[in-house]
Amino acid sequence: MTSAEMVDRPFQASVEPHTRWIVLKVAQRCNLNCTYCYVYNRGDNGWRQRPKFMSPLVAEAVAELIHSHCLKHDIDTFVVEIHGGEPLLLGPKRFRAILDILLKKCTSARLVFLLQTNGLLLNEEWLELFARYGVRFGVSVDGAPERADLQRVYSNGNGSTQDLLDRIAQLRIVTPLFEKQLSGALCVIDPQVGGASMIKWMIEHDFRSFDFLLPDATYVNLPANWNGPTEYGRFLIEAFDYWRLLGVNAPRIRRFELMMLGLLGQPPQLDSLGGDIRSLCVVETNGSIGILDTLRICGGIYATDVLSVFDDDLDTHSEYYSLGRMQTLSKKCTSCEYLSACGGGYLPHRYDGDSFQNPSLYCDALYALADHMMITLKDTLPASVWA
Amino acid sequence: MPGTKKVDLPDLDKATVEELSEIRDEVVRELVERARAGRPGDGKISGHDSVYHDKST
Repeated sequence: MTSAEMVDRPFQASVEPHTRWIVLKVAQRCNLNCTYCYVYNRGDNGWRQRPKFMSPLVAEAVAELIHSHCLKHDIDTFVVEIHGGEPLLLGPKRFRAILDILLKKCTSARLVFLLQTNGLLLNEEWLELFARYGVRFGVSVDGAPERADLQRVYSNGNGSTQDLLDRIAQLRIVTPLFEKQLSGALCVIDPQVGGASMIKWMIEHDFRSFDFLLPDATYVNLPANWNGPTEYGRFLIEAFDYWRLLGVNAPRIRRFELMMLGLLGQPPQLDSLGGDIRSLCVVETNGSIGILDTLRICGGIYATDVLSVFDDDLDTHSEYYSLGRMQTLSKKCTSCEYLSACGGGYLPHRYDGDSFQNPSLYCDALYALADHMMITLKDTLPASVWA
Repeated sequence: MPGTKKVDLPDLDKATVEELSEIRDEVVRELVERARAGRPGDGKISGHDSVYHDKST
């Protein structure tokens, strides 16, 4: 692939992609109240109006939709991401019931089950359930309690990180299923923490695969304590340099791998790095079908429940919300040499209250990281690849 | 300043397998191997920011 083709790829929209990934919000509430959470603390209160849990009736409608959708579009593998709120609040009995419904009714495609949890309710029973149904899970952890617990708090304001670490340590002792079913960890960046020390902490706590997330925000709904993108760039570059130094002992860090792979010619694979969000939809506990969940922080139409599993199909959201047009890149992005690394950034981060056709709020950080990555590639790849 | 300069991105197809295998940076070499093993895609999502998912599993 030529560099021109790589740069063009993220905003090509010639093929209308069908939904292949559904985010099931099986529980609407959470046992934490993280200060940065896009569900509860960034202006969208839609969760208050919906049932606490997804009912079997909604699950059956979802299952029938996935089955007919995959049959119609000849899709052989379909991802079901179990999410919340905190999905484990659902409890094992309701969880089993929903997965049984999906497996019984969706026979036209192989279902891949993913789940993201804060981990505080994890126990052996859950892990056995995950193993039985083939659910791979991610856990959310932001590093050492001293800093992480400024954000990751219970509703009474107390920090939660030590409780999580204690629980994980116990599970690692009593069952191999924690490691077996764990995909990795998500870590929201705290720019006051050094990138290298963050990686060290993750490794010390036996997390070998993880990602650094930029806080959910828009130009009109800024992250807390916002001082601009520079400090996020500093964190990422410091982390990247330390990561490379680890060599064969380097953990998997999704953002670094995917941005580097973008620079090496692979198409975008992650929604926050230019992946086409038309192939993903979200179903809430009341059966409403929405777009990328983090876009709810944009408010307005993006935070309303309009479409439904009882009335619409799994591609309706794409046209209803004009997702193709929404993803049109800014001129600054289309002329940027590193577009293949960041894909223009995450859609919520591009929103200015009116349009998404802007560079990311974090553009300077992403650009600095991509530029730093390119220096690394220049230093390490053979001269022939630049010819 | 983003968008103000143009650089060429690397083209792995221009290098020999031997040249690529001699990359001394472990992290970069592994990514090069993954990039070369990757299939051309259409940019559709195979990852969602809000869930950690390792495709290799």
